[in-house]
Amino acid sequence: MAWPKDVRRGSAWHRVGQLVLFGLVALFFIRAGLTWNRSGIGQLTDMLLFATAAVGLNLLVGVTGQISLGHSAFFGLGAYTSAVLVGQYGWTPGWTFPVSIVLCFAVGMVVGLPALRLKGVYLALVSIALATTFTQLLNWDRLAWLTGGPIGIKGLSYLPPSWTPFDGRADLGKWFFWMSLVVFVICTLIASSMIRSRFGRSMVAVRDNETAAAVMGVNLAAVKTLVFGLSAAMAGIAGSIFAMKLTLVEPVVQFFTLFGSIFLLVMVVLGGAGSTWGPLVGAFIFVYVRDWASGVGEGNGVLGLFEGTRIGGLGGIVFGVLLIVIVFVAPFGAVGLLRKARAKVVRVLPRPPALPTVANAQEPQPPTTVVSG
Amino acid sequence: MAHKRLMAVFVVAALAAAACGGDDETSTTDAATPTTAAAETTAPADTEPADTEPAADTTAPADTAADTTAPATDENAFVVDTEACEDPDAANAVIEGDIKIGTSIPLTGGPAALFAPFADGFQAYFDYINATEGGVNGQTLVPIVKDDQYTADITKTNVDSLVFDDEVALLSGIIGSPNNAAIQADMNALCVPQLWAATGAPSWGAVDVYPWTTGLLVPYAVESRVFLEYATGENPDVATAALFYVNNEFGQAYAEAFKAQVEEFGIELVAEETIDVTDSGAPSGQLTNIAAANPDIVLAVPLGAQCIAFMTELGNVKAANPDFAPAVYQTATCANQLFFGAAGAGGDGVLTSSNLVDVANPENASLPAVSTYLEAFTSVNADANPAGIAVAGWLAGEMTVATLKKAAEDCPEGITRACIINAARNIDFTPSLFREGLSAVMNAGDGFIAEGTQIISWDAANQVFVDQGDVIDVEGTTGVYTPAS
Amino acid sequence: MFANSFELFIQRTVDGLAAGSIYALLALALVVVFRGSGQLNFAQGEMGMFCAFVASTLTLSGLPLWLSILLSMVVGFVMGVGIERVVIRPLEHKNPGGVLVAAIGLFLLINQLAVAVWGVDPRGLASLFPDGEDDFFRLFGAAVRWERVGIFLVMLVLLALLWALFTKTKIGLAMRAVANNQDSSRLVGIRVGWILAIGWGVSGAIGALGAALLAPQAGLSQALMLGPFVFASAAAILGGLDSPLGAVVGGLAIGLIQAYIVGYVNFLGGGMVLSVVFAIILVVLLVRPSGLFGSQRVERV
Repeated sequence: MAWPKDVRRGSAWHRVGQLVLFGLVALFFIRAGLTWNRSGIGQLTDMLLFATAAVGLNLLVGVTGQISLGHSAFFGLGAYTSAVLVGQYGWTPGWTFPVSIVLCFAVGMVVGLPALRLKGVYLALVSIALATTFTQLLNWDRLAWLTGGPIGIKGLSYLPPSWTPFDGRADLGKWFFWMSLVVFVICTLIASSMIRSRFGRSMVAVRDNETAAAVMGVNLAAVKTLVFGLSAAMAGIAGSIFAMKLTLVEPVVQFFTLFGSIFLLVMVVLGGAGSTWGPLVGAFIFVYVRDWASGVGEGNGVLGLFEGTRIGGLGGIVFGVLLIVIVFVAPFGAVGLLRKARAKVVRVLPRPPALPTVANAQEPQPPTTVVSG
Repeated sequence: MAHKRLMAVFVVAALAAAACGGDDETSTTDAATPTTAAAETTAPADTEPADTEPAADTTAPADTAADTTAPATDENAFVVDTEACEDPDAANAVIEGDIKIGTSIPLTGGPAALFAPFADGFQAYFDYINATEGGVNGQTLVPIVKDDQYTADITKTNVDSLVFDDEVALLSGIIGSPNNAAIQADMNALCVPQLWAATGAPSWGAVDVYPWTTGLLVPYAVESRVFLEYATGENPDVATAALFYVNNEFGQAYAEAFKAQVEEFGIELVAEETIDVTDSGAPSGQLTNIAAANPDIVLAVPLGAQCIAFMTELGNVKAANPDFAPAVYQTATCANQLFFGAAGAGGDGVLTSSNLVDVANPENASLPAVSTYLEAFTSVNADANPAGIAVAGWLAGEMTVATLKKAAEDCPEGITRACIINAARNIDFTPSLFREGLSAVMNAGDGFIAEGTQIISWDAANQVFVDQGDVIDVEGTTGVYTPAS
Repeated sequence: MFANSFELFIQRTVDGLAAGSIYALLALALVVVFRGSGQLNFAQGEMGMFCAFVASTLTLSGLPLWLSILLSMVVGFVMGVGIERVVIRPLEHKNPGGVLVAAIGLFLLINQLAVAVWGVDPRGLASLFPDGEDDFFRLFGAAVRWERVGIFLVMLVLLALLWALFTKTKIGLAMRAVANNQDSSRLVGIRVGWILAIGWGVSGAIGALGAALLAPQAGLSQALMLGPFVFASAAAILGGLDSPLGAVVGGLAIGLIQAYIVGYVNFLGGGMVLSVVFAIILVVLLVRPSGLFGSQRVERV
């Protein structure tokens, strides 16, 4: 049979393919967790936490088509919730995580209310307002009794509890890595099963044509606020762990500011908006490409040039150009690019009686509402 | 309005949580009371040793300060306890071959990118020592600089990579209070020397809690006190003060110190104005408020290019309000010819301070230390301004080398991390660019090297800083200046 | 000194309008792009900053200031057109979501390019208007600086010019047609691509002017536009993203809000200005989803 070979979705071969892919990714993380050094694991943990927040943002932006540049506020809210409870009130860090999730979910739903009335660029700008207001509130001296003001809350720590196989401070990095991995996997499972559910189809309907969705009986208010809440909760738990790993919170931490929001959105788009693997791939590209680029201006050279010289700004220039190049090369994100490559070898056909799910769509559709530059 | 509701939810939830968890007396660190945390961390450093050896260091004459060979054997000598380390063997392992020195500095990203020339000054000193002395102890010095955009989480990633991937022997010259705070606990547990943190926050003097971290700059509390002493000396009738600061950790640290001190001096604080880190326009409203309160003195803590906007607008407001003629002090972080020069007439007469020789002043060009510096700096980056933050980078490099030299002498069998931190904590050295009469001294009872400074004022007509009064040296007495908590 | 609270109030109003004119100017740049393409140019501020450095370099090389600024506006125009043609336009067809990422890329690229070319040290830039310490006149006791009056007038002139451009010229007509319906415009022979690119160019030129006017009071550094850009977008959204008049009203309103909060609401202080502005915007948007002066877009099923 000629290439590409046809594989039917849900068939044994398709399952095997999925398992192999999943196995390879799992193997990568397990190997990394066991063999990488503290620095490598630390960076991988950050990547997983950003990916977790991006999973939530992807539900909102990629699947439901609601632009948010305010997710740094939820990431930060989660972080501050844990930090305040641990630093000011002496809680055990683990117990603060559920509080973060619930609080961010509730706040996310409230923040989702304007989305019922605002669209596109206006919604994006209101979400920018959220991100900006959040950092201003953190800085506000009237709330310093709670947030620590500009100084923030320092000296946080979350040593591995005795029931874990980890050994105190020395295994701190591994403890955070496995915790983040588990949280990421859980969030991804929730997101992907949601996308496949009836509710997921409502989300896609809202994205593709809000008016038509309403006409077909989708409860716009319920869908939007729920997705906002869920999305915020995922960003919140990621933020909680991030704060404990960083050992401090303060208003200038990059992922608590508007820049964090922008970066999370960049991850979603880079990975492939709407796809299950997108956030992970996007976060991976973002963290490692940025890290590589920042070394370029510092004498590490690029393509044999600039070796050994410090050129101010070069790293940022390289990273900026790369972002632009990537969106040109991979219009549907990195996952879209990978799918395209795979399509040369294997073609996945939809299930015959067609229980149409989002995952069946050949390409993830880009959101119809777009803020652009 | 949704934000108010949002906040209300947050506050209520936090209160509820507090009610649940309030009686749980698990370990809360000094961070538990964040507003006073900065003040408290220095307390152990200053109070405990006071009864063992009263101010021995203050009597050390400045001319013998350059002698780095003095063995640290007296009671006040600091000796680190490596048993507390995660890996005591690593702390006592001899560093073979090249000595790698890691640092993390904002080279890009917002107002803090102004600090980037620090990296050039830092690099220049190691290049200079490698070229003229073949490194230290025959070992070549290899600085590794990473960019953190003044962001604490990136600093942490950078430092992890420096320690575990590049396997640096020590860290030095990391810029920023939040950035150094983010890695302080880690580095102290790992027992990696975190030397000459380029910030003036009080936390770096916590000898007992965080022995492995040392600071480079004049503590902010010292600076603001020196200004108050100068201002009240010039004009004993000073009764009112105003405070203008950028609303971040840096500005807050100054503000806390100043507020506590004005009370002590019996001066009333009549205006307190803040700006955001990203504000770049003229601070008209803030200065109008200050002018309306008409204080006798003003302490201004802007960040980066905000120094320029502040002085420009100050000139405007002064011109419009002829009665408004306070003594205005801008923090030493603004003491840069570029900033004052760009502010035009507004900068004229504005006070600031520096504990370093003014390398931009032509009168100093003949000093050997200055010409050495300028030559070395130009070979690293001919385009950057050598007079600003770059000098602090050079100072950090020089202090690092002085520490390593002392470590090599104190530990003839080879330099270890423990040797390095012992050398740093017992340093008694006169950096080449320090102003005459000042020296860098630390020991078990003294957690800060730089505790003296010179008030200077800007002469806009001649585009030069002019010394005001004498160097005010309070070496070894910083404990007195710790703001009450 | 201020004789009474009325003088102080006037002073604050004057200060607020002065700050507001800068926001209004930058908001106008945003509006010009949005009207044409429905896009928000996130790299707007950085383009302006870059052009201000160009102007500063030109003055240092001996050109008169007004000519330097004019030339930097030309650079801004070319940059705008170039970015639209090379990055935005091709992407819009290929990858609409990517336009945002590309804009972030441009933001970083331009910001860091300025660092690479001019270094990180801040510099001054002379003002187009008399800005000596004594260049002011009194109005009800408050000091009104000629420089700020100049910026205010430039902003009003720009508003008038934009109004003339949109309503009195062929290009303006084409711009309005494109904003209204790109496909129909194409059918009647309008070169939509170029019209959009010109919109970006005009916006780039306005941004350059805004930065050149702001730099003398703020000091020219690569961080110049980070804050003002957020205020300008707030101004644009408050007024309605497709209305030049709205941008001006929004900008001035935000300047005044800022001045009054700093002056009278000590409880909030300077650090909370944006939060208050955004709270007001949120209320406005909930009542009028397209801002104060924005045109309501009717959606058909």
